Amino acid sequence: MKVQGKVEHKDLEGGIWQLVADSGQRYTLASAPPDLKKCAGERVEIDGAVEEGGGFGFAMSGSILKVRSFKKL
Amino acid sequence: MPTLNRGLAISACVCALAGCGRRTVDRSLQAELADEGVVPGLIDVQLRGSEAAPRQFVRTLGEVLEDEELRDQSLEGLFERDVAEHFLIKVDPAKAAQVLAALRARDDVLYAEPAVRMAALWTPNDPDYAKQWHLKAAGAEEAWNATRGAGVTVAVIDTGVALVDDLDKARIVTGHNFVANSADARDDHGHGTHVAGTIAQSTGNGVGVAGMAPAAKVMPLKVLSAEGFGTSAAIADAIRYAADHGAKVMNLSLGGGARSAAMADAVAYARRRGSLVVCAAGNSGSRGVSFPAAYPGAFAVSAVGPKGTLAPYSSFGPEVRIAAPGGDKSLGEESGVLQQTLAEGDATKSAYRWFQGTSMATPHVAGAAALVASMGVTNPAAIERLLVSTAKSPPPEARGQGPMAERYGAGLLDAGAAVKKAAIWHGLLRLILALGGAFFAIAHARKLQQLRAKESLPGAFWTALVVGAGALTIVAPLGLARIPGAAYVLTPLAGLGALIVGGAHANVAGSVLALVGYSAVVPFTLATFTRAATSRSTALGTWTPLVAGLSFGWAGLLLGAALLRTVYLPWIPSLLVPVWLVIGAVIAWGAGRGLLARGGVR
Repeated sequence: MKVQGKVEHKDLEGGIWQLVADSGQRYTLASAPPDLKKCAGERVEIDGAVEEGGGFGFAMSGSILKVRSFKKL
Repeated sequence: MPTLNRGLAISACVCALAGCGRRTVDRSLQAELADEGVVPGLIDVQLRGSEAAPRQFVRTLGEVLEDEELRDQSLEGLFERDVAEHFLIKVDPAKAAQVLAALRARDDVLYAEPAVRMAALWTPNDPDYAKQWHLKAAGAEEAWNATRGAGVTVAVIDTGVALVDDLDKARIVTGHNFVANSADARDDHGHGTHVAGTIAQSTGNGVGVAGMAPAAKVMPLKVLSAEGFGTSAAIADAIRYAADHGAKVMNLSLGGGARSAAMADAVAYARRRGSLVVCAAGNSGSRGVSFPAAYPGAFAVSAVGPKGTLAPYSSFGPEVRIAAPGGDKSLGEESGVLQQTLAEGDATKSAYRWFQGTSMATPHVAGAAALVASMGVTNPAAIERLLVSTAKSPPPEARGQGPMAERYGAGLLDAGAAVKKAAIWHGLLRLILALGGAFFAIAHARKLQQLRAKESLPGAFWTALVVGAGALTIVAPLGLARIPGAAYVLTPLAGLGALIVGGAHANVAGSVLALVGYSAVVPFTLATFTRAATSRSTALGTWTPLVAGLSFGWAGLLLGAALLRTVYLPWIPSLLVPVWLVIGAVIAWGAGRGLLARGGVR
């Protein structure tokens, strides 16, 4: 799936990376490449897959979106 | 400032007990100022009202200290109760007596006295402990004089636990890595190590920071990857593993939005095995508690900041049972939770870092549960009841945000109150029941002595008294926690065997010993042997009153455990545990009575 939105670094649980989709939905990013982590505050399009059922982790904030690739918008 | 109020109240109690209140009658001011514990130049003033004139007068005497200044001077525990009416002022120590005399001469001053350190509360010497507002807010200081959590194992189901230098390696028990399916459960992220630090950071070692239950053991179970993600299957397996390997408390600072039958079953299984499963409510900042916190049998924790109000990120909902400090860094970095963990971006180094999240609130509760469990309350339902019933009311600012119960559950965690309730209330009831046992022992022993006037049995009499009175149902006295091995002293004899092999649910031996201990097997067997040994003689033998006393004491212990419902027993449904205990009590009492009845005592 492809999701467009803004990349955010949240100071939660020691630090997590999220994508706030244009729809308002919040995703916690898994396997985010280092270049994506340089895009905080910027709009990107991420190609990835949402973990089945939203996934489990310590972030506990939105579904987990496993990043395959991304591009800046 | 409720915490400060309480601190002052305790300080006042300590002062009263130590006799350091107003002492103008028979002691000179100079002698008063030379008292042990008096902080030179600090004066505690309480006005009768909040009139402007006396307030102004006090302000002319010296510097009115702020809370932060108190912390800087390591004077935790000396607080202003009310800025308008109560002051802690700093004056020139050489003029302290003069200032005290001037204050006491005024009618509008209720009292003025030298400030005294709160010597009754043990304060760790860890240099950055003063920054851990969250431990104080959770009531850790009040709990530590009674217990540090010895004898209890807490499973940290997380990213693993790194053996950082401010964690006692001897307290890290064997764990498991469910991500790589190996025995290496070391942390490669830092989240799990931070959580483990809140539970059991080395405390009082003069290094770094403190933890809630520093004498508890930590079982690291790695279910989350270095990125912080995991599967429901791994989490469910870890919960079952923890329940099967002696974890009295589990900390799950993780979650997700999906229901998982396997995880729900695992939580229910752990509960049946006598473990308390403490889970983070989630970080959505909205209504909707994540799983596993939302499963029946889990103990869901929401997060509050330093002001005691719900942190903006915390999830909430009807499943929330209690709130605990999780930090609120919107108020500043140091409003987070401070523990030692891995350095950011470098898993080979350690660092002291401020985190925030419901993950940070959860281990405060898990640590408090370990403290309560170490007092002998092993039934998870009883631990829950103690934590919930002693929770503090949220501050007035919390009102108006929506349903309070959904945000705070029963209220804010107060580990000190929970431990005190476990120690005093439960201990007292246990003592009363034990004394009841002793009463039987004494009554019968007296009759024995009358019957056997020519052969008095002073040694056996007193042995029966002691055994019946308390050896079986030792009350956990406050202050014993500092003694190594105190857990063994504080545990009733019936539970000792199980504790030695690692707990009632650690292994088969522990389970069998717990069942035997909390039954009439021991007194009944001893009584049977004693009867057999004395059947060939009309003499009752020296052992008879001893065994009878022991049987009465054992009966009191079992009856107490049945009434308090504090004991977890393996293989018996929790509803039937009191029945088991009462039957045991009746048999134990009958064994003691039967022994003496043979001697003609009715």
